[in-house]
Amino acid sequence: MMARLLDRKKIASLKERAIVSILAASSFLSIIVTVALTLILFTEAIIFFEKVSLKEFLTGTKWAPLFYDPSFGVLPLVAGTFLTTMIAIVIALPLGLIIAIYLSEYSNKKFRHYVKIFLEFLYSIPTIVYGYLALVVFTPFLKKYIPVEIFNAFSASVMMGVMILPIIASLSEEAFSSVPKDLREASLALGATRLDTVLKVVLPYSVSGVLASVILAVSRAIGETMIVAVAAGSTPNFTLNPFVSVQTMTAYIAQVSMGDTPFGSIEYASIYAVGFLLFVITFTLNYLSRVVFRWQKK
Amino acid sequence: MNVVEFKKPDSENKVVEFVGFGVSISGKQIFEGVSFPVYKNCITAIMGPSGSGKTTLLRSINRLLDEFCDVKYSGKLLFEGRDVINDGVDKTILRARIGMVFQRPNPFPGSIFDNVVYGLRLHGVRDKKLLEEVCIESLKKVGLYREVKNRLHRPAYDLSGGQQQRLCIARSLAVNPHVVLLDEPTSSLDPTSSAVIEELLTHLKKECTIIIVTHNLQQAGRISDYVAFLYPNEDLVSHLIEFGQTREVFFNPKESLTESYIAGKSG
Amino acid sequence: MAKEVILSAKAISIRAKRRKLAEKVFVVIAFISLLAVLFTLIQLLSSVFVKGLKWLDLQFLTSPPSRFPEKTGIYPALIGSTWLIVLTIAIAVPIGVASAIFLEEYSGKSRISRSLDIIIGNLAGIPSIIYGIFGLAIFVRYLHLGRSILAGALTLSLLILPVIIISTREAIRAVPRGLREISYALGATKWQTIRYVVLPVSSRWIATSVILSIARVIGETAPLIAIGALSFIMTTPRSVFDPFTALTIQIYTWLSKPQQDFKEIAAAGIIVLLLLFGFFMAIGSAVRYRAGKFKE
Repeated sequence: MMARLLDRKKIASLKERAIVSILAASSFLSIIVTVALTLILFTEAIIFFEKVSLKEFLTGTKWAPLFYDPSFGVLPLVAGTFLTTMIAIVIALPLGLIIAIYLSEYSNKKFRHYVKIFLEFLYSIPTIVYGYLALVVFTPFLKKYIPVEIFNAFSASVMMGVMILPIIASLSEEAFSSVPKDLREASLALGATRLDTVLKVVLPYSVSGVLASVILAVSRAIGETMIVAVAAGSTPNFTLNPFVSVQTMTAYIAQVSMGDTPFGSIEYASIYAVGFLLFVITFTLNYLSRVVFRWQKK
Repeated sequence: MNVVEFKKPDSENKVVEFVGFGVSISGKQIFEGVSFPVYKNCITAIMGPSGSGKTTLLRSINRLLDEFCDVKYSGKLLFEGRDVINDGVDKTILRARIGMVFQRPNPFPGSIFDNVVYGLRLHGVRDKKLLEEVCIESLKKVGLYREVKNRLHRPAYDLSGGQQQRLCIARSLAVNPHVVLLDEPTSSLDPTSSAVIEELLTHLKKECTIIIVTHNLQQAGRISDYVAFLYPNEDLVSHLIEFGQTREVFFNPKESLTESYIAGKSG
Repeated sequence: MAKEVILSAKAISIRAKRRKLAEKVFVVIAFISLLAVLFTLIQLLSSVFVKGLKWLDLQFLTSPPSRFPEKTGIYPALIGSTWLIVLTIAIAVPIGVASAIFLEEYSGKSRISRSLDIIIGNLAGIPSIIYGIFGLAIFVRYLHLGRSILAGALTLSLLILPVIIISTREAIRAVPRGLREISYALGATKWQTIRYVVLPVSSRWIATSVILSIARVIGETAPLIAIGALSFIMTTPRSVFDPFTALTIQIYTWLSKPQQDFKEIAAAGIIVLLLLFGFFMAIGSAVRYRAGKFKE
């Protein structure tokens, strides 16, 4: 009887060990993916850099990979990315902060709950929808007032602003809500209004959380593809004029990969060079966001 | 909104007086029928078991209660002769005249200096020299000046817990309040820091009237001149059981409830 | 002589009035901003419906794409998206749940566990187009899967894997400790406890994360473009190795056409997309809401 029980136990423990190995293998997949992803981007980019010098890539102001005499200066793509991201942030930051302040300091619980659901929905709408809205709805509307090109950075940026607004609003609201209540009370007890309290106590206290949310929003805007691919055009333009067509790094990758570019060609390799740069930028920003976020906990 | 200066009371005057005062929050009655005066330049301690509405009573004096809950007041709460519940008193002026210190030290982000002059800046004082003088004066009152004089512009979070609490007292003193409300100000501090603050309060009462909520009976006995004792009945609605001079209430209580509470707690 | 500032009630009151006015202005502005965002969105989305609704009929839902606006349809894209959802969920959910269990229950607070934490956080932050070109290199090119459904599903699986891991971990963490202790006290092994206590209790939360992942898969475009799902597909795929198109890709194709009619057809496609997306979002939110109630 005893022996049987022990036997059973042995089998159970064997089975358990097998299960644990499977579980462990699944989680190590994440490591494998990370390594493989970095490796692929890197090796494919290396092929590109055998033909184009790193210096030309990083400092050249002309991006014309499909020309007979191609040039591979990435700055126009970087400028396009920078331009769309900046406009998006300029729209999303003040609006997001105002909404966050309203939600955390003025609205009641129920209203806050529903607005947060709405914001989550806003954030998860497929971005192709935003791209459509920018191109088909917003640009024609804009055209009535300003002479803009059919594809322009501005329309795409505005929609991008709407897309990242929820990140700033939600995360900032969470940062504000984490401010201890008695800090607010101390300010109110000195005769401050809620607005005084937000500006002089709550915001300074939660500045790192707000900053982290902004950095994260910037990172998302930089990595966003469909809005810019649909509405901002495909003209690598080294410009900061928002009313003309530009091409972002992501839009370039989408443009080249959707054509039947043969494997091994320089254009094919170039998407990995651009992708690698994009990877480095967003990785750095995400890391920064986490570091900044941790300040507050101290 | 009426703009009427609160009169500085003469010595017999009651600075604060509760008259049949009651509070209910979100429909739940916390206490009712509370009547007792708070005399000028005295320390009045409010004591009672947890949940007896001590803190609620304290927070209704500067109407801080209104900010986060759905409050209904009944009866009268007189501050320097005017009913702050029913007379349309400007809450900002009221709060400028009534300082408050909380359970845990809660300095604002920013420097020691910024903390002390927060109230003054709020009420429009911009003169840098004046702010500095008041800052130094307030820090001296709480005995913190010598410890921090070389780092007035350093973050307030660098201070120890006891120092932070004294800073918070200095912050409430800077606007020269008539009354300071303290909500268990030593409950999160070590005994040494607590003793420093108790000592400080006995000096401060020469300048302003002090109302303190405390869990700690010995503390109430040591520093207060008057005590008000709240106790909840079987429906969990509190009433004032006894009010009087501390010595009287502690050594010669009129009510058996007070006697057993003090005996049970201190014995 | 002690320095004191005697603030007169009048001075305080004048300042206070100004500050209260500022506050009122702020509240009005904030409320207007909120309404503006809401209103803009409703306005924009209603324009989608106005433009697209007239093209949306049974013929549109059951026809393959065509050069002629009045004959074109979304059928292969719908089928393609369905394949993608089923495959992606089938690949990503088991792996994601398994690694969440490992990280939450077995790896403890070791260094490996902490670095895995960071790695998964990083994976969640990588732009989706980068997953696309990674999938293009590894699945399409090196594994010779071609521009097939399988390549697409594998790529999307990698994309949603970190999301599933993170939300499943949260679900597992929310299981009360007492329940586990009871199970151990009854002599259950660790795995038995996980299998018969932890997973059943957290299943609603895990289900939520799966449903929200489906919504994400429906809406994802960029990685599919990158692996080359943009072909003009007339037929529906028969196996996972067939080339495919998806809803979002089809919409993108129509948007790229210069004719105005196709822009409106794109709007019709977006209506279908949003309805499907909204359906899964709503179910996900409802299940989460119920699960939240259950927890209390």
